[in-house]
Amino acid sequence: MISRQGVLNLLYQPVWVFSICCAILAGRTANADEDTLRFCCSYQLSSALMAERVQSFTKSTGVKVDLIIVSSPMAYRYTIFGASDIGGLALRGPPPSRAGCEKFEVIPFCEDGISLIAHAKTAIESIPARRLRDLFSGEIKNWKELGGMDLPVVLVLPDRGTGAYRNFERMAMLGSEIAYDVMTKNSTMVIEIVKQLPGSVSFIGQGATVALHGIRTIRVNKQLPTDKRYPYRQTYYLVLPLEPRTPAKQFVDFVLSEAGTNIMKQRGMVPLPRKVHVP
Amino acid sequence: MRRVTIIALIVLTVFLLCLPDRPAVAKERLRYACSAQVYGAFGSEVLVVFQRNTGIEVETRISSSSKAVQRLEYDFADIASTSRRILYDRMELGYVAIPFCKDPLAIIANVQCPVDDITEDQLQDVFSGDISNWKGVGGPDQSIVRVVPDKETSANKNFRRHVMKYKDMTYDIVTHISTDTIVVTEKLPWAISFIARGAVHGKEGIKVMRIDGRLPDDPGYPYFQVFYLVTKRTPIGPARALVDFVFSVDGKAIIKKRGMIPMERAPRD
Repeated sequence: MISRQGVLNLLYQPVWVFSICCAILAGRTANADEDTLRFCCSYQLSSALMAERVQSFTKSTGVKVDLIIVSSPMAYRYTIFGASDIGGLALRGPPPSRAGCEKFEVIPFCEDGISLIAHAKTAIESIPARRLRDLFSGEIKNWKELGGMDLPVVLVLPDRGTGAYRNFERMAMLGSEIAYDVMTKNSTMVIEIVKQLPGSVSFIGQGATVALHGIRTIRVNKQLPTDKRYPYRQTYYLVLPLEPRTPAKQFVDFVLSEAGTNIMKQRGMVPLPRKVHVP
Repeated sequence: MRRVTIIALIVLTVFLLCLPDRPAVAKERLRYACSAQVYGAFGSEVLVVFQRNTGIEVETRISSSSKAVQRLEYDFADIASTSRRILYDRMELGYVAIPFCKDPLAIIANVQCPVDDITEDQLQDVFSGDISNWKGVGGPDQSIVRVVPDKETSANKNFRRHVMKYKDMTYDIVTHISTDTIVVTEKLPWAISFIARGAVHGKEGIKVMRIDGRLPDDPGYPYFQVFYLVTKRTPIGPARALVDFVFSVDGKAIIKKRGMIPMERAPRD
């Protein structure tokens, strides 16, 4: 006999609710159109590369793409639960031991520097990695402490659940706590905030900042994100079932084609040789 | 002998000249942990007049209400202000919470947004994520940018209680300090947020929205929060002086000037 409380507990389990929603979504969209590719992509990856790639893909193959833009962990879950044919993310995904992951392959396809971006009027050219940690831990309160103008530092961060945050926390902060003044739900929204707020500073995939005006990229250890010795580089991944639908297979080939890798290079990103990692 | 006297006088003069400037009597000091909303609403102006009138030097630390009370708890402050009632267990420990002002919780938007009026239900739908476009509330086809103070702030807690009735809330941007929602909303044309009415007094890039046709000054406006001064025991010395000042004619005049409602002092306070 299951108690009423037990039933309620089951209903309130977010994983259950999420799975049911995904199953409904999957059922609805799978029947919608066999030639439509359901592609769930992280905000960073979409801004850096994919929004443009998707259009070219449809143009050259005739396959329509239903593009859903979410955070990296959500893109992974959408794919694992069958609500998406392929996922594009800025995180590797859960460890191989996780149940349900064995039927999916993860393809690392591109490396991109994590840019340190600041408001255009911030007169700082470069920052040592150690001082960067002081900056984002909230110890440095004013730009003058770094040799800049007398202006309070405004720390703008993407949400803690985003790939951008997790990668930055791991690579730049070495796991130490990050302070914030403004936090955005979508990682790429930090760009808009940094443009608007004097004294603000944030971080985001370098590819997402190409050809943007109104922000300044600050060097780390005198290196730009496109330089070989730049310390913070994140990897972008594609995730898809071991036996994918035809449009998903076509899309992977398209992204990894010579034309695809050329676009990555043009945007300052580093294409990786094709190597399939099965979790 | 005369020579010795002259030398002694010179030495004394040099010694006196080297002494640092200090007043004859040490100034009284008050360590004040202030909620960001209270500070934004009227704190800065009150403190200037208070210091001028009493000569008491105030060292102010601005934070969320809960952090302000924590500073008081750990003796980093003599008095705190909050925009939320303190917990019952603290009252049992002898803390004194003195309500001194009622402030409407204002719904604010960027001044460029053409929508002036919103219903209570629509407001709930906007912050629950059911309405994501200004079209949904009679505005242009633009995505709504929801700017929300951190969930630990009293502004957020009061909003969840009064507006959301404890329904889940979504956001696009979170600010660590509640009054920073004003700065962000000023900069983003399609932003909507909420904050103490007094804190937006005189801000040019912001407009206060009507709720079901009512502005915060109108009778029947639905959302209010109460500001409190908190001490660990019955206030004495400089803390007492601040309490007295807030309830004085000068203090009440500042509260009224900024569109808030001064409260009468309870006899026990």
